[in-house]
Amino acid sequence: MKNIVIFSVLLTSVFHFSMAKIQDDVYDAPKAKKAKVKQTYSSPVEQTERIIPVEKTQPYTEEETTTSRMSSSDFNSANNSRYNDNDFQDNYSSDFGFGYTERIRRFHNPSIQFNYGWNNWNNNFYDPWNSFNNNFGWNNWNSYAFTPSWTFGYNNFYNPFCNNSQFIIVQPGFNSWYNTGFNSPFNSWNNFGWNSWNNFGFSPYCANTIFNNGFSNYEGFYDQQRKNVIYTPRTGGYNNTNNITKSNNNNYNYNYPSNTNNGGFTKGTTNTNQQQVTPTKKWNNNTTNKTSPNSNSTPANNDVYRYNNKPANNNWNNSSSPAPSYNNNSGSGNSGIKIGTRPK
Amino acid sequence: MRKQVFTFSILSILVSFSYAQTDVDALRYSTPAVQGTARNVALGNTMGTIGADISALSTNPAGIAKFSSTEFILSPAISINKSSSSYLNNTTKDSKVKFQLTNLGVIVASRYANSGKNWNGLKFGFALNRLANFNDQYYFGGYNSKNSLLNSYYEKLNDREFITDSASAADNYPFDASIAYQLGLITIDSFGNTFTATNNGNMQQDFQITKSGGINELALGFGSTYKEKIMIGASIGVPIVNYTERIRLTETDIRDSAFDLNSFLNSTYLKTRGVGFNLKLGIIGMPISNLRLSLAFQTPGILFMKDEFLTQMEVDYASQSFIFTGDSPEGASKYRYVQPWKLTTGAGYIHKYGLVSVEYELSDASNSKFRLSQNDANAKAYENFVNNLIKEKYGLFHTIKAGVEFKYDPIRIRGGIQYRTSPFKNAAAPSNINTSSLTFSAGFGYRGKHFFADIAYVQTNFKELYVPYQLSTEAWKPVPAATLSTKKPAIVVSVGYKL
Repeated sequence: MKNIVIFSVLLTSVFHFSMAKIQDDVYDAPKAKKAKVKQTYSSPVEQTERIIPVEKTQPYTEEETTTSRMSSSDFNSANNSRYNDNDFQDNYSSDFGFGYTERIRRFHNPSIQFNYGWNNWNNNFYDPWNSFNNNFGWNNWNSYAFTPSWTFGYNNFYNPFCNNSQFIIVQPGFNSWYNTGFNSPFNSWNNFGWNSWNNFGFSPYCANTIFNNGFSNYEGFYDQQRKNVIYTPRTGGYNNTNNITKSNNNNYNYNYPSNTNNGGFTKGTTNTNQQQVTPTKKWNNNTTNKTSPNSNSTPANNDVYRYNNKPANNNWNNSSSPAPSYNNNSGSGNSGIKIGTRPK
Repeated sequence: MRKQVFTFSILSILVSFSYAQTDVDALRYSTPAVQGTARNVALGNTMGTIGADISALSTNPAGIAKFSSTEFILSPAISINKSSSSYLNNTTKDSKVKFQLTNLGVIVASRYANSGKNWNGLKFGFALNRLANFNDQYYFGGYNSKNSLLNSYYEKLNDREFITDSASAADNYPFDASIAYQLGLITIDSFGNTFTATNNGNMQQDFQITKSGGINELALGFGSTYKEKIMIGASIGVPIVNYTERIRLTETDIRDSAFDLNSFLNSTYLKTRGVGFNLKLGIIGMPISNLRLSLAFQTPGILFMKDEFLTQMEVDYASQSFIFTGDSPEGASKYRYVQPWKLTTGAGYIHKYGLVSVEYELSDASNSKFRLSQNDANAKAYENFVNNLIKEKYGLFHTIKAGVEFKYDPIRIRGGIQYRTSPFKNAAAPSNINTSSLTFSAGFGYRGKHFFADIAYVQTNFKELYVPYQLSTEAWKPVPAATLSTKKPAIVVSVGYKL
């Protein structure tokens, strides 16, 4: 606050001394419009109105007429090499022949967008960190080099961090005219991004699955094969009150979207090359000091903690947790959910 | 009987889970407050009644009729969003600094009045005015012994009307519960019993919420003065919405309550973009030369919105050497949002040593509506559901504004205040929290023959309630709610030039 006061006082002091006349439409009354001045006027009154401005501008007229440092020929492009039409054409004009609007359009919606990789600055190419001297870099246009995404499925990319070519973090962002493509929480200079080596970020790792963490530009002009989008209203989320009023609508199916009743929504399918991983939860005594399963007590109705409840098969020695019904918790594979792993 | 049970189940779900995020969105976009120039900010956003300020294009366009010459203006600002969050008896603070542009525009007006004519020339204006600043950052946490996010997922997946087999459990909630299911956080045995990996809560919950964006409005308007008694004007506003939200909830078993679960993360991401239009009509009467009486009406606006959202989960089991990750598909939704109308009236008095201005603004957040682009029965049902929820939660809200300016040429000294009542209806208002907002401001200005500059300090204080999830099982209630107290101080500087 102190700085504001000081700054304001300084600001006003500076301009106070240079003040010639104040113009503030809030306080100023409307002024009568002056009659137009025409050189052909001949009446005495009009002549009087002309005299005053002519006198005021006289010094400027003299100065202009006595200035001779730049002759009129300086403005003649034909006689002066400093001024020619080429100065008004940029470097692209002759090379590409694109019009201005076309260049702008291509700038915002380029046919090739380099948005893949790890880094906002260096992600132009698929292997941005060790690319120059190997077969996988940007400068080697072989099958491993960066290729426009519509050419290959994302499982075809080379993984620079692992021996097997299974891994990629796809970060296409929202590639469109309206943004620069780096709005994903998985790629930014904050705690959520890849470059934050904390619990929130992720590190390069070798996984046995493929992630598509970025939005795939669902209305875009490219990368249709990677589309993994569900067009659906957003129904989840938080609330801003703890006093919910009862809704009188009883037609809404909260189970939405669903496979059985998707209402015509376009639902992306899980990539067939993706390996669905079912975590194998352990039930043995490991090094951690967790609460042991309590098989003797009868849990309360609201106790839904797995290890306080007797398993349905009554087999406490099961080395892995009871799998969901039909021994499969990966679903039909059509939900678009992608499961993977990363090292701790 | 089965149908009744089904209907009851639906109702139960609606009552317990009716926290569709979009009704929160509706409130966010229904309560904008024009910021505009530093002069307007310092005067409590009352320059719409006085006129001769380009901010009037977004409040009362009749005010531009007061301009007597062409004017350019630019208003950069820096805002420091300070937050204090209270959750489970823990209070934490966070802040976020943001540079913005609150105003940019030009007024085209003739230099002199048309003496002897009824209409005093037509004045045009084009401006970009900041209507809302969504930049906030919150961090809070605490030990929750009663419940967990997994309890809410449990309730979803334990409903056998909808979840009848493992495939439906794995697929039907691709943005939340099904991810937890596929990661083993929720399990269902062969008898249909559902379990959680958390031990009935007893988890340390840490939240991090980051919001960014705002609403900017492109306003194009015109105005004129009739016999120096009445100023009238109209403008077309093109609001541009830009909102991004990231919410991370990490639950950690810090007391070794769970057998195998160390921690899990639930991270949601939302990006909303929208553009729309509205119409504003205004009139300012001058029964005597120094008195201003204003009336302005903003029609309901239509915003064409697009949401993109996803969820990511991570699980750390003690027995595993890997972190298991689960990513939802990308959700996308297009819809129209109807912004509520707004009525503003005010009075001002101009003296040779300054001015005073007051305004009253009335709007109705319950008039917000969503129109989904999908036409299937489910979408329509959901649309009705959300719109009804908006009507039940929100209502009329009032804003009272006042500003005063002292004039000692070429200096101006200003102050202002704004008070907005809660947009919640009483029955739906958050308990023990006042959701009204208070804004106070002060500033200085300099006026020269051509150049002018203003600086304003403004601070808005408000509180919100954040309920991360909801539960219907009484034994697990209550879900702890975070009280988010926000102070948004900002410094706005305007520089302009009059021809």
